[in-house]
Amino acid sequence: MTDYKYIDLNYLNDLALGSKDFIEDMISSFLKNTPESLVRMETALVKNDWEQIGKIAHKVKTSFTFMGMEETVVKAKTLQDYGLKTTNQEEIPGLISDIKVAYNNAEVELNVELTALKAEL
Amino acid sequence: MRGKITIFLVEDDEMFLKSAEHQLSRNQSYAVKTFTTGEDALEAIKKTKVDVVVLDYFLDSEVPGAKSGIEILKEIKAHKPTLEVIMLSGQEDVDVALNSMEFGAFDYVVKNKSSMFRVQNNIKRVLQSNEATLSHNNYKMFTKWFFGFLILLVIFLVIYAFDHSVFGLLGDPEILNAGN
Repeated sequence: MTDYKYIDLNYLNDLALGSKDFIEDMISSFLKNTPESLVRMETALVKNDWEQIGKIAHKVKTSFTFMGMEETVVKAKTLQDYGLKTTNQEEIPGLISDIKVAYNNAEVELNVELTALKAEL
Repeated sequence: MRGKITIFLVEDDEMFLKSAEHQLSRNQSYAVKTFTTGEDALEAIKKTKVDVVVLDYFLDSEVPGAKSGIEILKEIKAHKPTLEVIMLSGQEDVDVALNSMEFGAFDYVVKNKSSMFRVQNNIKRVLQSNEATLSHNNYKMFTKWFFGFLILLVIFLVIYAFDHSVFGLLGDPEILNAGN
């Protein structure tokens, strides 16, 4: 078993300035909106709509930043650049797949955090 | 005493909007209103008094037909030229910054971990600039009224002096009349 964590909530905690409601709200928004964005990204991939992939990557990049998912932020930024500049298309499916895996793992970790937060509130 | 400072936050990214609202609302002298489309913000700007607008550059990123941040910036400036707009964007692109400044943005802030700190500093700068403009306008108004009053006073004194000196030269009209 690995100790690797996909999320790091230090940044979110700094922003929250003690407000657990804020942290809960941000995590809930992330868990609600990101899967939908990833589905739309896959749909765009099927249609070879590179620009749309770039635009969605631009959006999710900010969300990953809040959850402290630095490696995924870098991948989303690369995806954004490839999509908007219509370059390196062969790397796009791999990047989307990596982002999905990272999200799925982050989701598990965030649900644990959410449960702990709700117990404190 | 001045009321709360009204800040409009225009951003289509829900998480960034929540975070920015949370940061800015900590300042009790700010009244923060949020919008997810530029069109809604524009309508509200036309109808209400706003002190500062914080506007995302890529508002049209996913909604087909939605106006971009630059288009909204141009419309804000067309309706309220003195209203200051701080532009936000995730792209660290010099062209984006130049575009924003060219169309009258007060400043340009790249979205990163310190962006809200920079936004808050910019809001303070906008408010200081507005205060300075207000003081300057008040001073101009005061000097206008003061010199207006001074001119009227001089005119009155000239007429008064003229009136009395003429009658003085001719003598008192009542005495003159009594002589007849």
